[in-house]
Amino acid sequence: MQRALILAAACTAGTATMIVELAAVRLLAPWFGTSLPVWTNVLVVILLGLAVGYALGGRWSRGQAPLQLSALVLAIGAVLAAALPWLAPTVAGLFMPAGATLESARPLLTWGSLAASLMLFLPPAIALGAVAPLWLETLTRAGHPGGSTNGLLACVSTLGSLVGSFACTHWFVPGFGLQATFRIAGAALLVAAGLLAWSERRRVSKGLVLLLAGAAVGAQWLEAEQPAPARGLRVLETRETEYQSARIVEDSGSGYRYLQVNEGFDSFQSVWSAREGPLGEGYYYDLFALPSWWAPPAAGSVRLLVLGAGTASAARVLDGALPAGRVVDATLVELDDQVVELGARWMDAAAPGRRWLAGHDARTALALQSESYDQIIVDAYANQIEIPPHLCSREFFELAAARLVPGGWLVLNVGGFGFEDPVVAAVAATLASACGPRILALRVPAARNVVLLARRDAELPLPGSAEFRPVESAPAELRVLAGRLELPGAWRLLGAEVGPVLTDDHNPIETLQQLALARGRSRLQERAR
Amino acid sequence: MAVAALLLCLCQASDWPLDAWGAAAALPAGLQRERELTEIAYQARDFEASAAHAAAGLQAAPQDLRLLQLACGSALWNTDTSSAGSLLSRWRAALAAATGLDESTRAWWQARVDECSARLDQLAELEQAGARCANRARACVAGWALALLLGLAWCRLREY
Repeated sequence: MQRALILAAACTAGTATMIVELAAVRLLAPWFGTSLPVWTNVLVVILLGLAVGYALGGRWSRGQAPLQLSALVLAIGAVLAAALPWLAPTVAGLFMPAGATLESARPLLTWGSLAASLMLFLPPAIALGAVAPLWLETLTRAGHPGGSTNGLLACVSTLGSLVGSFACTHWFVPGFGLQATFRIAGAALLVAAGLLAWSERRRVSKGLVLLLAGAAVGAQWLEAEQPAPARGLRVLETRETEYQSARIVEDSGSGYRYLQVNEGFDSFQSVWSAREGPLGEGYYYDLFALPSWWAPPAAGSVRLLVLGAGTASAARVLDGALPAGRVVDATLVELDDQVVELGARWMDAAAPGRRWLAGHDARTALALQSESYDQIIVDAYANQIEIPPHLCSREFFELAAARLVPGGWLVLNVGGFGFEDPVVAAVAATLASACGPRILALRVPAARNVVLLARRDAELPLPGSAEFRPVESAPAELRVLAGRLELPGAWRLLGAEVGPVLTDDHNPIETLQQLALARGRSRLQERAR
Repeated sequence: MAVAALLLCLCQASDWPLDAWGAAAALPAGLQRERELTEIAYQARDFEASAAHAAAGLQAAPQDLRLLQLACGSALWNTDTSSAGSLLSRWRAALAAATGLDESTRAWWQARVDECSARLDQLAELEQAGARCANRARACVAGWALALLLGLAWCRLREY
């Protein structure tokens, strides 16, 4: 009976460890995002905690009542895990100021997320690591052979971790939200601790566990706070999806609505305006409408494919910015189907004329397309700041170019600090290597974005030429935009020589992204000197 | 009022600033050329170019209120708080020293200076908050590392 209880507790601890580990990144995401350094820091801290816990548990196992102690430690771990959503805003707020810009936040992504992880996740990880040696000692003292018992404990614990991994990602977080996920983990640990304590039949142990149970129940009533939106924005709806924390906010002044995911930074993933068409200064989506004026398709509709469509901002801009008599026939691919649901509810994402491929990876969806398009827009980002490697390789761009009609456009949005930005240079070089020999790079006025354009089997219109200037019947915003893009500092023709060509085999885009942020910051420091 | 009307006129950007840019770039090197290029770049929201041309123009006319305004505005857009701070001080001093401004024009300029100052205060506060957070984070990580090392040393000592 005791052996079965211990094995059940080991399985529960394994499950809870993985839930805490996977949900931990999501818990920090509103402040630090979910980029590779943040993931690394969280994993390092959890592993460090488990290692310290194993060592401590090993020392404590020499005591008289290891099982009793394990129940107590497990109960402490339960309370700490359940309280994490409540503690996170205070702790993360210590290491990330509200309203930080991407440049100012860069050093905090690494140091801040590491410090916050240590404060939040190290204690519960130590508790969850410490129980295994105590259980092994208990079973060994009861006469079970050490080697096979250790193997069995590791086996059930790992199986528990496996269950925790799947349940956390596919069931708990999207189904119940982050707070409930941590509470579920805490409650499961507490039940396991209670059963172990009961099996020991010791008054002191039961008292302690009951005390901690009270604390854990109290933790259920604590409400976690998310970072407040910037001044003038109000939150319309928030959701925990399989991939991210997402929310729709509305600007009370302009009436614009924004999709924000994860971050506390100064950015957004999609924009909605009550009026279809150009969004105005600083919005890169408006550049996506220019190709339709440079070279209108012969047929009545513009066949558009958007990879990383968010809530369909690009399609909405084109809907209201095309030459008379032309309509958008849009296929929209978005990995996160809950983002599409949010968009349908608040941002007219399900308007007629749009075919959604929600829940599909952009590259897979592209490969499965049998149609040809007048324009393919790639606006897919992971972790707010990183273009996924498989969506910026030469092979991917070759595949996209093959899905274009002759004269069709491949258009990319790249976040970057100008044409020399390492990410912009690498993606431009890669695009040119696949669709070149030259591609057109346009720096978005009053924004931190560069839009790259390649064309299949046709000339690119050069800024300053008659072809580049939209005719008078074009929306005024597009004419102003095109005018600004003609200035010498706003555009470049780039070839494969401007940076490293990224391939499926070798694609250091995450490293380049870190380099770009570091370079942006050092440029500011140079100017200050 | 005449200055205000001139500024309003300058703020109305042409649809095709490249034409104006070409004409300005063809001017002989000097203050007028830099002033015009700064205006065009600023209205086209190319703030790196406007900052560079404003800096060149200010070499020739360090007290030019409009150039100081555009230089300060460009620095703020580029989140270059250090340059913006020094330009704002120069702008404020140039306004105080300016002669021949009527009351309403001086008040107009003062309002622009105050706007820039408020924006700069916001940015500087954010930068300082970021620096404080970074220092706190490093201290926290160092503290944990020290605590773990001390714990390890204590355990080793207790072994003997």
